[in-house]
Amino acid sequence: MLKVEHLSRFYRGSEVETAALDDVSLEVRDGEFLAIMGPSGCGKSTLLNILGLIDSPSAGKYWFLGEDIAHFSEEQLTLRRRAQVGFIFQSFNLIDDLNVAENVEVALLYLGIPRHERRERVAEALERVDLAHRARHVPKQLSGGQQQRVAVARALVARPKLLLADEPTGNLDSANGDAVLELLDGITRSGTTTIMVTHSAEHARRAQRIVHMLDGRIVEEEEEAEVTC
Amino acid sequence: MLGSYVAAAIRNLLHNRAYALINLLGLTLGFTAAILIALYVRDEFSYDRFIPNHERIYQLGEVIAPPGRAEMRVAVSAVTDAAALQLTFPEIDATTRLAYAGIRLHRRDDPDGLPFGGNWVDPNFLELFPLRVIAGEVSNALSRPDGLVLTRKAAHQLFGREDVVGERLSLDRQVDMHVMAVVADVPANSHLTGDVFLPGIASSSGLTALEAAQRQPGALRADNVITYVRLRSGADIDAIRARLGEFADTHVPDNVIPGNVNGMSSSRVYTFTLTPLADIHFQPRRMGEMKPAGDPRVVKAMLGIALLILIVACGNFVSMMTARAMRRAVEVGVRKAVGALRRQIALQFMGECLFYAVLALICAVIAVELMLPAFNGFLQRQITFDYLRDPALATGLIGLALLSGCAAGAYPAFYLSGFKPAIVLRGLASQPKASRIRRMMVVLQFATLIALLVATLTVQRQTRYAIEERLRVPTDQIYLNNAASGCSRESLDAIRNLKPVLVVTCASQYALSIHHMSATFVSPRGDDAVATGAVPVDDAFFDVFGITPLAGRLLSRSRGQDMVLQSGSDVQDNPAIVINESAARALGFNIPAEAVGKFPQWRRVGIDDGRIKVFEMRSSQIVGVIPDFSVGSVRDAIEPTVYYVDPVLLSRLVVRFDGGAVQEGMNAVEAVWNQREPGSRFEGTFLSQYMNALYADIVTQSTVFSVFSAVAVALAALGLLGLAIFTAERRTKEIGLRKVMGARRTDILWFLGWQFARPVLWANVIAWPCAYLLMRWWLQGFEYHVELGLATFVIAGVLALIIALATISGHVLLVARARPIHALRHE
Repeated sequence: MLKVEHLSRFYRGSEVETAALDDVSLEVRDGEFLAIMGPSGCGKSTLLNILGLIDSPSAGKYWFLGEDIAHFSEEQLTLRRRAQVGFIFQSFNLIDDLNVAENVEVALLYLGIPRHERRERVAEALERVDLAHRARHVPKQLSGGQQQRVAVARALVARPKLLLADEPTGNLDSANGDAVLELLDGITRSGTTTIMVTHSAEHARRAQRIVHMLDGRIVEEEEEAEVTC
Repeated sequence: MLGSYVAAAIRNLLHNRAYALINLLGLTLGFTAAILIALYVRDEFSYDRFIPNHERIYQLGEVIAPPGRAEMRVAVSAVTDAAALQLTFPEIDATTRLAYAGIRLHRRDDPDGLPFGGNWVDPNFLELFPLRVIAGEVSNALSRPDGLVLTRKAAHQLFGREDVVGERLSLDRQVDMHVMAVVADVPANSHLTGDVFLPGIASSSGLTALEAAQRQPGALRADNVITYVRLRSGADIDAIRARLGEFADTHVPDNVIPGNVNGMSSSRVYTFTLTPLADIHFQPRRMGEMKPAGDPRVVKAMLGIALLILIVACGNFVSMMTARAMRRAVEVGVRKAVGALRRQIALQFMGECLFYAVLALICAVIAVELMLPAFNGFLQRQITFDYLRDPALATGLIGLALLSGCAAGAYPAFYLSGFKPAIVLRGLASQPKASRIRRMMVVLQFATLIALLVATLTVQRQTRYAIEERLRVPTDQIYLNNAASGCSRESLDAIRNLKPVLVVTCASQYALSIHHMSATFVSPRGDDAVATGAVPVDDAFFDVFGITPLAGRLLSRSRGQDMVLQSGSDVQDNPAIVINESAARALGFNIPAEAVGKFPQWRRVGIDDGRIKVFEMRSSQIVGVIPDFSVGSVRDAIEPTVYYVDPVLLSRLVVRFDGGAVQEGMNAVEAVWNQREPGSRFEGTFLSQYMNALYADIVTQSTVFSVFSAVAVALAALGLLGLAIFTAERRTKEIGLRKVMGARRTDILWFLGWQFARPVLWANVIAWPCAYLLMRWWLQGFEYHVELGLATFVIAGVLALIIALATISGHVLLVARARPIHALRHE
């Protein structure tokens, strides 16, 4: 599905250069559920952003669906992201001015899908996250858990090959967190590759593989067998 | 996709009503002002273009440059010029003439009658200047000596209806006339005026009388009719213009120009001009114009104001959109994360700005519709706003909205679409560099505001100076009464004895700058003659205006040499004279006292045996020198002027009343006048009204500047209010922390006040030099003007600061009074 080699990402301030990622190599298989763990500031989200094509590496190589895209322009990245990648964020990032259905529909707007098909797919996605009855509500009228389920629906609706979740349960209580995790499990089972950044070891254990990061480097990997035992 | 954009735009507007309202109100105000100004400017450029074949019709004018004097531009010409032109130039297809006259028309049963502006015109006048016929037949209407044509307005005033063809009217209770036709009123955007067209061929006509006077042997050339020529199709106007010098030499006899004393040819003194109809309105000021000319500098200034207002309005919009950008950051991030390209996001925001612009345009169109009647009333125009039937106007309006929408939307679209999803979706974005641009925007807005305040203050000072200060007399207590046949000594004595009358005198039209007359002095240096203005007055003239001599004395009834022309001795004798300072200098005297007692040789124009004549050179004594003084426009330099008593040329009764008893005085004077001068109607105007008419354009400019400056002030204040709300919202936590750390309410007020005062102070640095250059350029159009003092700039700066602080004070006070705990919970 995707592969990175010797990936680095530097941020240049006025006086110092900070390495957010330092020589990271990783391969993710089709349909795999991968969790990334590590303390705050270790580079998890930076790695996720690069894998999700919303940021570019400073050095290294990145094969996405067989293409080396490390040096692609922003527009090239956008065109690949548009059809292949879905995002779920810790802070939900719903658009306040749009209702639930419209928020979900945003993910289909740029794919050139006809309106009636968009509506069907939005209804289907909301059905899947059990929020069809809330389609006309605006985000402010929903609980945190419900908002994150809307975000999940938005991530699913374009049927991406890769789903990236950045601490999707970070702002939720345990019951709502579990519900979102259930949804991610289901998505993975249906063949979508999922990469999740999390602080929660319990939630990470649901993944097939866990990658541990520290100071911008991958320091440890745990495979499914180790995880489950 | 469009639906999603529209939904986001509308809901964003509804969710942020205060900002949306500020944005919408600002743009609406800007558009309304810009549309009104554009309509005014369009009207200015539309003058006389409604006349068919206007591009082939020209008005004959003259530039008269007597030796030793400033040139005079006149819109009138001699009554004989039309025929001479047609004889000389085969390219001329038709000519027509107009002589303006104040008339009174009486219905059979109305002894008082009504006053009208009348035009004695040639029979073909309404063929060259056709007006829509409402009733009757115009083709032969003015070929009958007893026929007249009324405008709709005059018909309504006289009869209360329009179907008045055949009705009989008495002209000045002397001649019976018949209404032959009723035509539409002369449009406001024409150089023509008048409500009644009278037949020039009538024996009682002004044209006939002037023609008869002009054809007498040795008659002086008198410029008092307006002459128009229509060229044949394809005729070359430049070829005609090239031969006008030759025409002047053959047509204007040498002996009729008072200034032509040293064998100078007519063509050097007289330059005939042919002005296309559509250009008449923007000609430099000329004597004898039917209406004050338009000033292209005013039009440019108005366009500048419109542009500034639009820039301020768009600036507000940009500030607000970028200030609120963080609220939209998530939306941008999400859209980009799901695959929106930057240009798609930019287009979305451009579309949103255009949506605001179109909405504001609709509001502005409604506002213009509502305000246009008052606007027209103030400007005395008939400006229409028929965008449904005027494709150019409709295109202009749509263009305005699109251009402003794009101009205002470009930066926000570029800025917002540049957000990085990786940053904004993690809530890491801080207030980016746009805040610097916003601060610059506020500085620029206030610079505009300060410059407009300087302009408004200067225009108002100049207006006051022109109308009040320059005369230094209370003009509303001076009454000017028409006295065409002069004022008898007995009437003057009787009026002088009335209690509320302070001073009474009889003056010529030349004393009030209504007409112009020359006198010629032999040059003290022996070169070209010195030409001056000649102003026949009565001995009490200077007392009306409180003028005291710089040297010598004023004219006096008790001095025989002053009253030479009163005593009925030789009409060729020159009376003693008072000259102004400029004349003293022109005659070679270094100081006023040097001139007093001298006997220069000079000649004047006077009336002998009922005919205007230029008399011989004779000497008379200079008895006094007065300061330069004129009732004329401050636009014109006060020229060297000689004052003397010549009762024959006096035609205005001038009365100065005691300020407390003006009405009582008027009634008393009217009673005396009607009793002693039964043939002359008591009819006139206060000097203040006359001056207001003389400065009508300056007063209008002053008011227009004030109104549109107020719009700019309102816009700048609106923008600042928006930013105040935004800043207070953004800095709530900071303010809370400051309060927790011990800051008092006054500290917070100072802190926030300074934040907003700083850009206003910077704005002065930009505004002052710009305003200085702009207003210096404007004032240069006046020969006499106020000085651009530092005080005006300081006042404008302080006013801008007060406006800024007053605008934000309410909101800042609210924030400063809030409890810190609320502020700290804010995030």
